[in-house]
Amino acid sequence: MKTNKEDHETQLIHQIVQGDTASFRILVDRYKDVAYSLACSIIKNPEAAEDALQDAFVKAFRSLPKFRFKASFSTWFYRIVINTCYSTIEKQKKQPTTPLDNLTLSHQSLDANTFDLLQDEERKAIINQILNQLKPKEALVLKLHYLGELPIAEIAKVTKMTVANIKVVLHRARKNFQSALDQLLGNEKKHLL
Amino acid sequence: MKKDRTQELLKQSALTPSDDFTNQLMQRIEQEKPIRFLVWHLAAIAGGLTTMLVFVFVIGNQLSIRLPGMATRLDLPPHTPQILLIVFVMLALNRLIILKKEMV
Repeated sequence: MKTNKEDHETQLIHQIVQGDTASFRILVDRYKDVAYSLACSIIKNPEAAEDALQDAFVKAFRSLPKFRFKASFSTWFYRIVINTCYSTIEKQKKQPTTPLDNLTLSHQSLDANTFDLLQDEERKAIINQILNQLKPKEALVLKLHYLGELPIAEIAKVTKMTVANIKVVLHRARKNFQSALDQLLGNEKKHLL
Repeated sequence: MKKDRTQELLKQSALTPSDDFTNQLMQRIEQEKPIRFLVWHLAAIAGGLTTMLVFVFVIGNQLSIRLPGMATRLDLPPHTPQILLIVFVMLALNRLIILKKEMV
């Protein structure tokens, strides 16, 4: 059964296909943040991730007339994002990449501060540093599940993995996320995040 | 770690692309429109030309057509297929000129 959000999306997609390109902005604003987080977990370079995301949105726009509503738009679109990111990595394999410098935070700087005073940006940086320590597949599944709010069956469609495999990866990712958090912050400070 | 705690932390981690991301993207999307417009028009012209050529070379030799339900046959003037082909080519050229103007 379709939700109101899906109904609204279906209507939006029909409008876009009929030539109302301005409506595409609504889809962009709705999905850009989660999709960008996904792109960053595959491409460890913010600028390249942003470029790949632009390409993914353009591909989605071109392919919208072929979208048959068999899956939800989010599942279909995240699949495009992931494919585009892997293609970008293939293209850039020989080029050196810069790490997510703006997202890293040294352990020393954390020790100097109390975590309950952390600003949102700092919290974000710490969590992203932890996510970057995970395997790309684990970070991707975690983000699809918790950020993209996709059920396991939908994640399986996006990642082309089996449901059982997703469950294993998700369990391992949660465990690794926790241990990385412990390592970075120490058990006594974890609750303050 | 509880699932909802992971979710809470992950939600805080959401990254955002640069401020002008959407505007840049929408500019690219707007540029996609003429390309789509061009592709459809060229496809229509090519399709029309193919139909016309089929008419000229396959059916075009039969200039006397028997209309269903009528006793008499309809005799087309000589060179009708060629005339139709010329008209179509003129229309296609006209369409291409308009396209060129639209694309600039």
